[in-house]
Amino acid sequence: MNENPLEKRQKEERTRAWILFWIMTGGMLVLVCGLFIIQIFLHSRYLELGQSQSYRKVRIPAMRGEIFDRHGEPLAMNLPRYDVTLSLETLHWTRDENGDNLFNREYSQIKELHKAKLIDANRSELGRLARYNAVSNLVSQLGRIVSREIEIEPDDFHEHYSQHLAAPMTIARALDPGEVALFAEHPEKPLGMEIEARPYRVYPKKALAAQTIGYAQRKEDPPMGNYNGKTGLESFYNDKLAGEDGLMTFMVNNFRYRMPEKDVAVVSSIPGQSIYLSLDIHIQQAVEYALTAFRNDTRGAAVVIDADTGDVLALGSVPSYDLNQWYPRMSYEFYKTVLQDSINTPMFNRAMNGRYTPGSIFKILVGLACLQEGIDPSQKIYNPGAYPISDRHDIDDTAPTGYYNFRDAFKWSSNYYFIHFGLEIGLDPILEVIRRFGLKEPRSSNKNWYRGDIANLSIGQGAITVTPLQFAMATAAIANGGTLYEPRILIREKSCDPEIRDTEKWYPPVVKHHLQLNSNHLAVIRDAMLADVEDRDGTGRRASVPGMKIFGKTGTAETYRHGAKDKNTWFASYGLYKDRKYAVVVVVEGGRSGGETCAPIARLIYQELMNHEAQEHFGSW
Amino acid sequence: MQATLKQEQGPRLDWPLAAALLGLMIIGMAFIYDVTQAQEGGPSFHTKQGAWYLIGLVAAGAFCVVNYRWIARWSTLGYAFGLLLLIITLIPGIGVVRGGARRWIDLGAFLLQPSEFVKIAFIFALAHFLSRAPEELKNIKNFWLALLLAGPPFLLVLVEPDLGSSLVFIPVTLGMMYAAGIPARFLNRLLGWSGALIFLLLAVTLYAPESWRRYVPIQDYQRQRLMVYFGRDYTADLPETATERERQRARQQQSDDSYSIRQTLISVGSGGFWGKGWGEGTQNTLGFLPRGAAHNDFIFSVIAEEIGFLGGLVVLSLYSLLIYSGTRIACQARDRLGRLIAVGVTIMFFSHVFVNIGMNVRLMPITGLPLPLLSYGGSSVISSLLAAGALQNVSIHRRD
Repeated sequence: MNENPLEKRQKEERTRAWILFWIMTGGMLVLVCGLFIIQIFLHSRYLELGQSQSYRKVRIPAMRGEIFDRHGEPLAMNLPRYDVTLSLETLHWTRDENGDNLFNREYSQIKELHKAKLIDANRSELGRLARYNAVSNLVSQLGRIVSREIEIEPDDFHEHYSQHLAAPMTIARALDPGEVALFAEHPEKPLGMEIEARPYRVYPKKALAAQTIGYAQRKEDPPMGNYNGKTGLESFYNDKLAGEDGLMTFMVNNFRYRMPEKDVAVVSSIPGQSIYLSLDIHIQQAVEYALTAFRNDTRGAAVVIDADTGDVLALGSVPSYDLNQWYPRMSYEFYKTVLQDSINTPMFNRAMNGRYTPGSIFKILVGLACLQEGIDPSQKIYNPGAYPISDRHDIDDTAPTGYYNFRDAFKWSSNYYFIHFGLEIGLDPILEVIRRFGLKEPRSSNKNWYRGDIANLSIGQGAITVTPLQFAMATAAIANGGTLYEPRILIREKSCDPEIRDTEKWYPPVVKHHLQLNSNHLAVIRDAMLADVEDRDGTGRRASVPGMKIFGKTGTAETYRHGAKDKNTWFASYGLYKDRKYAVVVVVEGGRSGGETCAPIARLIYQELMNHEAQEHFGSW
Repeated sequence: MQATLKQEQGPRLDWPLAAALLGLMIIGMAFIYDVTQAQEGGPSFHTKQGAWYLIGLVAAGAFCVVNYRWIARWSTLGYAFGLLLLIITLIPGIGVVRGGARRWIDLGAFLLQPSEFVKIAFIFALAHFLSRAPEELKNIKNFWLALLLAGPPFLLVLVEPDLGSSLVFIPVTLGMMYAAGIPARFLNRLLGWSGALIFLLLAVTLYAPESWRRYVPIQDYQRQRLMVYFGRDYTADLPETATERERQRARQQQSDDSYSIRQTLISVGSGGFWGKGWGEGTQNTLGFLPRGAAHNDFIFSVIAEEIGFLGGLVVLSLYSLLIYSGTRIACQARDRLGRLIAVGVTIMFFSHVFVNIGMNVRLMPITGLPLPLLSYGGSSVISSLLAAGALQNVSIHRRD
């Protein structure tokens, strides 16, 4: 068939058009594939990228639990503090009729002044300046309203702007009630400003039990951090007190400004637990008063334990310091007298953490060990005035020479007697009693225990150290007939939000272990301790309080402190009043002697305990 | 016989093409509205876009009344007028500069982008030139003359600078020449040479030291886009002795320069299969997509984010329908002139779509090329509708 050349050519041209069509269709399919890869294969990745740039999370701080004494007297509490905050996003979103916000207007004004053509770098510098100027003007407007000079540092502002744009910026802190009223009543509040009541930590009892309560701190700005316990119980129970922060998720735009009306999700915070301590502030006050009653520069500690429960009623350590001095920032004087004083160390909790050589108070436990090993308390031995350890070394005895039975040796604190029997029963029974009473086992400075080491240990010298709290718990065990309690400081916790009731929790007394003491031995020890206080010639006679039965033992330990010879003076005791048993242990660094320095302090404490009980202030939990 | 009669009687408007155009305009309206609503304080672009659609439709209608053969006779004049406009655009004081490029003439009511219209004038002129006796097309002289026709608009648009629009001339010219029946050996040679040239250009742009680059007519920002597209590390440009600070700055610069593409990919990718829903996209609302471009060059990424892969397929299908109709019209055309006009216009649409959507899925470097009928912009909308009108013109007048 002969084809028309014209038709043939047209056919060929059509074919070419269709070839072009198929090429273009191929291109369209390539686009479909590209779209498929980006939208289906890589979907989750880009979704995540998009969310990470447009979502911000902000912590909602949880209310911190408060700390109370056993009667509900506040020791650490939250008070509202009135701050003025400025919301930069409000400034950003509030437009005038021209669609400009404050920053834009300021920017155009400054630009007018400069006139010159701007390059990008200048433009961003100018933007910074405009933002700062705009905010600075607002801040001084606030200053005029509340009649107080308020300024904002450029660096602070720029840091806030670049780091925490989505959070309101604190521009004035701690307004007093007058200033709050001035601000609240002012008819034209500056744009974006609000008064915000923020909690801050206050310690109403100031220096009372300061080392035990401890302090909590937070980052003030920007943005406000959470309180974090730094020392004492604020730190130890931080997890309970702190609660759990909430979380708010919201959207930000490309300038990192939060989008109004686009709060995405809120996880509310869980308020912290308030804790109720075993401390009784009246007893605590009496203890701290007593420690400084005779000398106001006393360094020492005193512990009062309820011997039937192990409750720590008072934990005094002097010198102390006002916990409120940490806020808002510490003064130089505070730094010098509290942080830098390496001798008085006001922040150191001597009652709980001070390790002291016990000296003669340790004879309570050595005596018990001797009785358990079958030493006859009525057996008399002669004290020549010093115990010969070796040819060249004697240990002096302050008790007069003569014949001693257990009771006399105890109340006059005869070193000879206790070294004699200590060496007779040997090391193991003494270490055993140390362990059972919950004290820290001593280690001889030598590899082996020599005679001299054991002799020293028998009178509470040398390798052994105890903390006042430990020894008070041991003394309480003597008082209650052999039950060694764990010291109970936390009695109860409950949410600091009164609406939440189901988180309340009680902490009952905890027995560490029953010592299984022989009642005859206990009677001998108690008799000797009573004699130490009640006999006119007992070393602890200055502790006696009429109307109260007090059992005690004095101690004067020789020690080295800051490179010089020094003394720790002790009085370990318990007292019975009505049906209550209190263990009271006092230690003073560098005192004259246990009987002269510490027994009178204990007397003041016992007197207060008696008054207190008489007034029935002190209920039982 | 009856069927033929019916065909003869009925209007010869190409209905599938009209449907594709209508669909695109509806989607365009919906998303211009969506995008500009989210940008508070801005002018209401959607009413203006509606006006452009109307003006464009009227212009296209007017364009259809006159037979394309008659128009083609005047195409040389149109072509010359277009070149004149392009030259005027380049004159400082008349041409309006936006984003470092002088592409517009201020007409008071709106900014005219001559390059958009020059493309159509060029297609007519080239179609007119190529619709000569087939023997003449085999003459290499005419091949060079055809190329010479493409040269001036290409270069004038390139120096504005508008790399994207100027590159559109290449596939249009090549495709029309091929469709006209210019011998394949000429075209292959041309393809080979231009391929080599582009390769060389890219190599020099991306890898050569600065002293060489001076001889390459490419702007810094274009080079940055190419470097971003090819994933070239900015720090590689720095001398060995560069300090850490300079390196950091280079990396920062790279991150800034790749901002647009990153945000575009996040938009498209986060849309997923179904999309986030119309008006629910966050990339534009929160301002992560470049604000000045979200409603024109980056409109597709908004569409892809909000109506997802499915919506993207609908858009691509509409364009495919447009391309199919264009090709069919080309085949139905009675003469080569009509065929070439239809092929040229179709390739022009395809090039715009491929480059614009391609840059949304990282197949193409970022160039300022609008998406026909979807992107906001008077020149683009009107010229797209005029081009579509040219297709309809060829369709309507295929029998007379």
